[in-house]
Amino acid sequence: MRSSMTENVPLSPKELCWHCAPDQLDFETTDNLQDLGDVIGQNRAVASIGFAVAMRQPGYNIYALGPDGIGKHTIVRRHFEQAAAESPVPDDYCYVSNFQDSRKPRTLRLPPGRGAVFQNDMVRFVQDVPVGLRSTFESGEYRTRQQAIQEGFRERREKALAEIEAEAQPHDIALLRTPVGFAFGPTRDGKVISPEDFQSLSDEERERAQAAIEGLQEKLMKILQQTPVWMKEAQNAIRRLNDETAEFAVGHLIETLRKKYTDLPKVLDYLNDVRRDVIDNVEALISEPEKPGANRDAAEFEDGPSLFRRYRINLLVDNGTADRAPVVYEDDPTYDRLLGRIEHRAEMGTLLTDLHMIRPGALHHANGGYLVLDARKLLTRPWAWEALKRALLAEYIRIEPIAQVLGLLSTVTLEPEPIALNVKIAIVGDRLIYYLLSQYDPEFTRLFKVAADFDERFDRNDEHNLLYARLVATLIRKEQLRPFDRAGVARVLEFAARETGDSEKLSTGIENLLDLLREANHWAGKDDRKVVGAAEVQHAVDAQIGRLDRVRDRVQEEILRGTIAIDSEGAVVGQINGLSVMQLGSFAFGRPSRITARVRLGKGEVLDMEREVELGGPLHSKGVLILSSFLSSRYAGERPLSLSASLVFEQSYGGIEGDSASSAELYALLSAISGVPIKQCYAVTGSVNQHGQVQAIGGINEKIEGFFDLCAGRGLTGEQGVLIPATNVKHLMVHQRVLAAVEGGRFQIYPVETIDQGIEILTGISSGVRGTDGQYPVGSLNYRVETRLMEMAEKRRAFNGPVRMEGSE
Amino acid sequence: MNEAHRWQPDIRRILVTLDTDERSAATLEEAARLAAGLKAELVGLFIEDAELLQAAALPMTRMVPHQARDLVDFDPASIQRAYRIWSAEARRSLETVAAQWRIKWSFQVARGIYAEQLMATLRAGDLLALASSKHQRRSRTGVAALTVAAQAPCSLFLMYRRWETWKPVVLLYEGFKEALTMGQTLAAIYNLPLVALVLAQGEEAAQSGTTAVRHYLGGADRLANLIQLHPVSADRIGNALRDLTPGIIIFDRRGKLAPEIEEALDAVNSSVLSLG
Repeated sequence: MRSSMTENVPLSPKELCWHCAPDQLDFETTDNLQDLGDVIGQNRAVASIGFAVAMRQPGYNIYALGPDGIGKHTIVRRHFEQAAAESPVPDDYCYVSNFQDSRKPRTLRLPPGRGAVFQNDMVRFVQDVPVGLRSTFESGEYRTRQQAIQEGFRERREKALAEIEAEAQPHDIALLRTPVGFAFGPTRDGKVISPEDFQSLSDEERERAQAAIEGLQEKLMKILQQTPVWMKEAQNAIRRLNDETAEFAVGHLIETLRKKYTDLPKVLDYLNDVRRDVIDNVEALISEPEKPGANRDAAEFEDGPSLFRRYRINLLVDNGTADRAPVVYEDDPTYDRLLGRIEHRAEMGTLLTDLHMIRPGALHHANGGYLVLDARKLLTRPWAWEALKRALLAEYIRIEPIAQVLGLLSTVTLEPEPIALNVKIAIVGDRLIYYLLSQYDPEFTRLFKVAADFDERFDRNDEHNLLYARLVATLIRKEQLRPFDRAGVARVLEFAARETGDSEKLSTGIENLLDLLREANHWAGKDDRKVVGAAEVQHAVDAQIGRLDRVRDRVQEEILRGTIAIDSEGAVVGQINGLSVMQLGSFAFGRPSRITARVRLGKGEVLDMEREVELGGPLHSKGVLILSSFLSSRYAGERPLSLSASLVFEQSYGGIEGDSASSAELYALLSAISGVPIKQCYAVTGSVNQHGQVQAIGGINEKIEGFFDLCAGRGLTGEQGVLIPATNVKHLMVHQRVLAAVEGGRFQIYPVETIDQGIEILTGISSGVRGTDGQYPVGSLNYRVETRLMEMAEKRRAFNGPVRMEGSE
Repeated sequence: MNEAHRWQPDIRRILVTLDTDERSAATLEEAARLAAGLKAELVGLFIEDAELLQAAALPMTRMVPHQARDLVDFDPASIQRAYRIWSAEARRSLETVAAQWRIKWSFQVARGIYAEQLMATLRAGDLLALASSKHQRRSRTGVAALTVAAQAPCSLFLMYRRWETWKPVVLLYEGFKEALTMGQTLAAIYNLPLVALVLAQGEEAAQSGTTAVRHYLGGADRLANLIQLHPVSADRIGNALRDLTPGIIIFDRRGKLAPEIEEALDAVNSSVLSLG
């Protein structure tokens, strides 16, 4: 039976913080270091990106996940750029008129650079065609042939009328013409007779005249009914003439173009369509008013839409100047900016559009290459995510107004022919979005098969230290900052370790590192330093904290003023200093909290006040249940736990989450049960399991510094310290001020593995180990606890009478 | 400057008959161009055909409309209403064309027999512009026009509807300076080459005529060709004109060879300006 106390040794200063000795770094300043071409610490992510880039099958797109500021964008884009440099330049795309259905412009795909050439060719064609048509249709030859046709029609009619007139003459009947028709009238001596003279005619003469007129009228009507047929024949003849003339006018222009594009069958088809359309619409084309200047077909309807405009092409994607596949980053991935849009122009209260107002989106620009998007932006832009998925699933880009997609648009608009899509996409975002999409969007994992998981940290060792120094040097040169000496770089390395909250790791965070370098450079400049040293780096770190620590100071102040009750000396039963971390924006700090425990006779409940008032989160409640289980199993295995305990975070007005206070709560409870006071010069952090083992928690450095600052504010006594889980020792990267105090023996940090170990430090009493007889040593803390619990069980039994076994009456 | 330039054709009025016929519009346009070139007044004449009004009053007369299957009744009142509308339209057309060419104009409405009214309006120094086609000559109106043409105390411009304005102006010269001047003037107005065909029965007369043409038009840029034709017959004139494919033919009705020329004109499809 052991009752002596375990020797609890505080951590040595070396264990509290990894110190990077400048002489470990084999350079004078960062000027001596080469640029770092590779990425450090992201092997997994880099391998994933490389794999995705190599996979040409659909769906092998990338979701680059990880916290902000660790270089996801940079790394993804760098890999895309490398792959793009080895990929062929994609084709040009353009929209051209669909002469069969003007609402559905067609696409043409041309080798890179030839799109612009073709566009220019068609602009010139549009300029040349009106000239050619006019000169041909105004030529004497055309007019002669046209007039001959028209005259043929008129002569045919006039001839028929003249025959009727000639037939009427022997009957003394005249054909009278009016603008709306013809009339026959009886004549005498070549002149139409008056009604009186007509009446004076004999009945026989009148009847004869009337019969002749009726016969002539009948013949004339037949002739006039034939007139539309003759007119139609004449029109057809003119149409054939126009076709022939138009063919002559544009044929050589088209043929010239056809020779230029013999290797592109679709372009040839389009040119054939243009030829057919010019011929079909030649009358409208030649009657279009001539506009001054060569640019008669101004791109933006300057003089109203031109019929010739339809022959121009809309060069949607021009890769003529590219020497590699495109890498596009769309920083505002709205629906329109992703898939393209159809613009409209308001004219006289009407919205007009045509194929020239189709605008490309990021998918068009990146087609045949690579596209980078931000997950959060993509998901917050209405319909952008759905549209992107649809395009990727269908493997083509369809430009549709969003209102049409939603069924809200009933007006006629364009339906451009979809363009085949072949693009590698990387979405860059945080892990939460990745996991949510994986969980709730079944299409996500089908379309983004590759997760490039970026780590926030990587192992710290001599090799990595040097690589990190090269990274620092690279960034310094890129940002054109002053060189850092090795002491400065060493301090930066310590900062990188502190960023991870782990002395054995370095942070991969680029953004925070850059901020530190820039700010250290700034302070060096203030001091007219040519080289940035450790002092400037430390100044930058302190200044960053100083800009954000108002709330910490206010809390500290109120503790020191006694408004917030935290003891740092003396000993109190059922009271302990717990530690929590407050995260305000990018700044986190530790805050001591008083935790108290009270016990009384009861039915074994441990009442968690925080949970009762719904201020405690589930993890905190779990911690309380665990310590309750620990109490029962260790001290009341054979009898009912007959206490009712209550635990509370004093002066806590917000929610409490996490189980890092569960060890402190257990200490307080043990103190309350045993009646042994806890020294208030200590603060405690760490969670506990059912076996009484103390487990690692987060924010260890902030918590230590939080209690240290309180103690320092009141004056360090040399007895004060913090109990931390032993498994957190490797995470220690405490601030220099703490380190200095520990080195001076004015502050201690104890690594604790078990509750027994911790309670001994806190109470100064041995916890005691159960002997072979199953009993704890008399006087030990465990003995006191167990004895008190037995007493309470007895009291409870006496109070309740004999214990009834369930089910037995 | 040649001598012809010093003499301006003495055309003070150009008369054009107006109706709603499409040929009338084309004739009006050309008459206006001519009036602008000759600095003459353009006179539009709208004739309400008394014979039509008379026919409308007959009990059995009915209209055969251009674009209907059935006969339509009509009466003098409806014809008079129609005439008011048509004459107003004709006036507007005249006004528009005159404004376009910036020429002086006037408009007259007359009622009566077509040829009589036309003759009553004409005066010396006028030029009557009429549309012409072969078949028109067979119609009553055409006959009336030709009757007027034969008797008109003035010059006459029969505008053939297939007048091709790039073909040359052919002047049939028989010794009248007015024809030379008119030829040069028309060539200038229409920007056409001028061909002079000197007609004479004898070589000497032909040579003399050639000399006169050279004298008058020698410096004229537009004189593209000068041809002698002797002796003259209708057939020879016709053959020569067919070879020359004239757009406009000019001759003087006072000439001895006018009958042969008139006969020869039946063989060609050209506009004809006969001075009288």
